[in-house]
Amino acid sequence: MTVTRRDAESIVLEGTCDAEDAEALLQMLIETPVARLDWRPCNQLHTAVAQVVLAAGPKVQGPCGDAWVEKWLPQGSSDSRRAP
Amino acid sequence: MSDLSEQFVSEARDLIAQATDELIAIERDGVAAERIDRLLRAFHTLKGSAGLVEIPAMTLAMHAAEDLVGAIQTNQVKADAAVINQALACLDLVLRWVDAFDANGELPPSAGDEARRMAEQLRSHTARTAGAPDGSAPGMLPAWASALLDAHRRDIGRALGSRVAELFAIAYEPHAGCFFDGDDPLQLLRQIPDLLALRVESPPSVHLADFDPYTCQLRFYAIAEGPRDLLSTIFRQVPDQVRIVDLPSDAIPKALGEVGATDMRGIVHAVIAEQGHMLRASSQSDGASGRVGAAARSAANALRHGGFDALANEVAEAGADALVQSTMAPLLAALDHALNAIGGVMHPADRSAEISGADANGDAASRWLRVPEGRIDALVNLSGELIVLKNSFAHLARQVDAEGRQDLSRAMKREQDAIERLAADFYESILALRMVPVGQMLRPFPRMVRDLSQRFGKKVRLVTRGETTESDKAVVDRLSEPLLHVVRNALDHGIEMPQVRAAAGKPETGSITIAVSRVGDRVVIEITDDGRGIDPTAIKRRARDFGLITEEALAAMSDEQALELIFSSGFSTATEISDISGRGVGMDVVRQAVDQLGGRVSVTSRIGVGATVRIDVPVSIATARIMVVECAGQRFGISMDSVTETVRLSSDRVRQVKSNEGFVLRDRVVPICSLAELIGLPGERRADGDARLLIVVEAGAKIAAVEIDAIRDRLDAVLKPMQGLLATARGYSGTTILGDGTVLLVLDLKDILP
Repeated sequence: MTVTRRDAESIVLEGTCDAEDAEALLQMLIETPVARLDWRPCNQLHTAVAQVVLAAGPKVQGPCGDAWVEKWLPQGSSDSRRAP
Repeated sequence: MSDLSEQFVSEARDLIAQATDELIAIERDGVAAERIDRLLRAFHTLKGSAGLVEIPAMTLAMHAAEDLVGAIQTNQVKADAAVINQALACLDLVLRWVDAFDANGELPPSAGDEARRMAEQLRSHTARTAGAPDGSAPGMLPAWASALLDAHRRDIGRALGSRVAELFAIAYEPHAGCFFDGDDPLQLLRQIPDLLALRVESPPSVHLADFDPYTCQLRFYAIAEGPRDLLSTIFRQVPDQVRIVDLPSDAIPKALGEVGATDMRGIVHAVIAEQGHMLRASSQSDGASGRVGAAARSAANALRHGGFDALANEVAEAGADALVQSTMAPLLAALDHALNAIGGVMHPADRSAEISGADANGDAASRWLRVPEGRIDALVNLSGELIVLKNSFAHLARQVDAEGRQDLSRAMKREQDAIERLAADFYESILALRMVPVGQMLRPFPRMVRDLSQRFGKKVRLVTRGETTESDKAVVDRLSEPLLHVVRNALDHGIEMPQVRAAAGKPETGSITIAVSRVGDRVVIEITDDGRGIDPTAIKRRARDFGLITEEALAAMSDEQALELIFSSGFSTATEISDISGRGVGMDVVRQAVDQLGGRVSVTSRIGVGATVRIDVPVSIATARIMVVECAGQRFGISMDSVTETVRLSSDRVRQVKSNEGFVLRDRVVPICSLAELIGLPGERRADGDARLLIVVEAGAKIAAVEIDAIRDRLDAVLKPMQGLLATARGYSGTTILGDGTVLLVLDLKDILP
């Protein structure tokens, strides 16, 4: 499991987050909508997981360990991301 | 294949044919409001039904085609030959897909690419006039691409610096179920080496509790540097979900930036309206639950795609309610609500869609029931058996009468008369089910004449008359190919080139008329052209060159007879072989096909004025089951109706009864007679030890076994009555033509039994 709950206020994404992690992450975000998401230890994010992050729009603790996601993905909103 | 798919296939074929007709009529007669309406309606319904069976490639192509027609309607685009060609090409493509869908239940893998290319080509016509005022390429850029460029132009410029780069816009819209296929869209995007801009669209507002993490709802729009091959390779597994568009390096469009949202709204509106129409139109028929499910799914998908998530959920729930309650009402209400909520733009085609809705609901006369041909044939056969059974009832009544039960026999006769009337009516009404308007057969002709005349550089107008004349479907089916040959020939050999016509004082545009009429129980089709006519001298010369006829016979031949030579096998008057006709398999095929239908074909012509081919066939053909037997070295047909059974008899079972032979079959003595003797052919006495082959025939009270040499074949054939001098000859039911072209005499055994 690469999605873990650290405590009531934070959820951690670690290492390679696969599609199966999306369900677990969603459940945790439903249970504690105010929890912060720490995705610094994550180095590869699957689209399904990214989609949950985009849909739930939690507060994130970054930068995301997946540099590509950090660069290109709008976090928690559907706004476009500017080129560097 | 599901009911829904079957219905889609047959409807799509009809709609494609309709749209083709309208396009050709528009090209020929100019733009008329009602034609454009009908054309839009056809395209629109095609698009809607493609959504219903979830064929996105087709939806894409039809949407672009619909826009093109819309542009014709608003005079933004002129319906010239290029535009009509493009629209026809689109219909051809869609027809190929429908065929593939029919055969394999899915579209070929290339469909996505083909659809995008087709949509681009279609849009190039709308852009040609309505696009950028400077007439440059940007007019062709899709809205999403120009919006993306507009948003990121400065950043991209900064990233590129002074480099000249090959730029592409990429729209990647993954399938909702793509995670289950093992796709990771972000993983694909990561592989783009020089990504310059990325826009990720996700559904705007979501209740997390309703969120399905395994449905991909993200859409990606990117700008990247090429080369194109590299980008195509990255997305090779998902060609149907990706569009890659060249970005012009110099000009960047501005004009189309705002189209996106309204465009999308229009599509969503159209899709939902279509689901409503389909549901209402099909409200009385079977398979409703499948339709409800599909309509709810398509509408919800469209709404979600357009970002109307709340409405999408509402529609999906209403769909589920409708299924539970077995009524469409909740879904229809939800669809109406969604339509009102989206509101705003009314897609041009919705107006026509409403007209079609009114048609479907209002006019009972225009309602049709599609029935597979096989079921009708089964009914025809059953009713045939009923007729036979009815006859045996008559026999029974006579028997009762003979036994002195007059009261009972009178009652039976009364009932039998009633049954007879009913059975006859029944049989006739069922045969009438097979009657179809010949217009159906004439469908491909406008398109064919148009395409061929374009290819030959000729100008030809096709006139059809009497399309509503009805005929047996079997006749119509078998006539369409010969008719194609005749019309091709008229176009190829009859109609002259425009300059030749002008020089001869004729209008440049030639005409070919197909006139169908009913004369008694015959259908007469006359194909007339106003071309150069057929020269009997040239025909005679050619027939001689081909060795079809001797000099003497030619000399004695009238011009009218010479014209008939064109129906001889291997005859062709084309001086140079074209790929259309003139392969020498033209008119003889026509004669053969018409002969097989029990019909007649003839030709008349005046040099310089034109020619008329006249085909005359029975309105309905009843096929008979025939047994082909051999006797005294010749073949004859025997109607299977008269044969009770065939018996191979060892010679020791043959009894001599007075001067005749006979044998015992189930306690009855059956006399044996030789077929050769019955029809007066020299028969050979066989050696006594040989087994005998007998056909047992019962005619009323008579029973006999007819001896033959061999049984060769059993076939369904169309009987042509005996004609001319033979019309009154006894013992023959008629003739039929065998596959190898030989004529088979069909015997009426009941008539010739001793």
